[in-house]
Amino acid sequence: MTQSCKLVLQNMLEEIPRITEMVEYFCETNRLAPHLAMRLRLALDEKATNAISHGFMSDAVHDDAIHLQTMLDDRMVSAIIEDRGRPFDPLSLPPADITLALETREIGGQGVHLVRATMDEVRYKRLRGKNRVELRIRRVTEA
Amino acid sequence: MEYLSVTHEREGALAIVHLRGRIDSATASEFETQLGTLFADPLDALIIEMTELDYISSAGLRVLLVVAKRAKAEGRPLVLCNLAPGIQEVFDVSGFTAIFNIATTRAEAVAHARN
Repeated sequence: MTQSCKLVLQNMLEEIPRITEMVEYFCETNRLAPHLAMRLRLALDEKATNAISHGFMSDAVHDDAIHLQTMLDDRMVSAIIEDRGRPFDPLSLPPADITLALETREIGGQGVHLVRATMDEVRYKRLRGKNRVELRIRRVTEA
Repeated sequence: MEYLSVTHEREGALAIVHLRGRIDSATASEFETQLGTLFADPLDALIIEMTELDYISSAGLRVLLVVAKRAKAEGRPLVLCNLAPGIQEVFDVSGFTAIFNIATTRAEAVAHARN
């Protein structure tokens, strides 16, 4: 029951679909409920997209720009995502106001909000020149 | 593997867009281009049918927000319909459920759009 998956991505948006493939495989192998799969996929996609779009100063492609790992125990689905981009703490942003009307709603800035809203736990560390984000979802609370 | 397909049909000045696949940061610009093309040709109302859309990230939400603001500014109804449960969840947590006109069926969407 402790099947884990790892993935290494270049800092290119074309790499994002590989996250979907990995999460689908991980969730199918471990028979995780579809709503958990969706949340995990979304959070990893948003975090990786953010790192690729804003984390790197130049267009230079790095083969090991982003490392992802998904894990599981009886209580939690967990993921670690590390990138070599510039320091960015997703928890440093103020919570998004999702109650604004269409006219006043700002375009963009949804990504970090979605990571925080879909995860039960988000932790950030800057470690050895990398951003390290740990994500956790409890397996039992939601139907 | 098909990643994102955007097709549309017209019923008079009403345009109905069908989305199939996934809208993420890799496909969102394609989605934005296709919707922009649609707006270039005069239309009264737009329906976006999402039955076969199985994934949307903030990159896709951003495009929808741009389109919704434009539709509102130009006074054209925009109605979304047939959201799958996973898509509905993303709409709920982002607050989009409250700012979009969302119908459960295509017929209902057409009725909303013509209202």
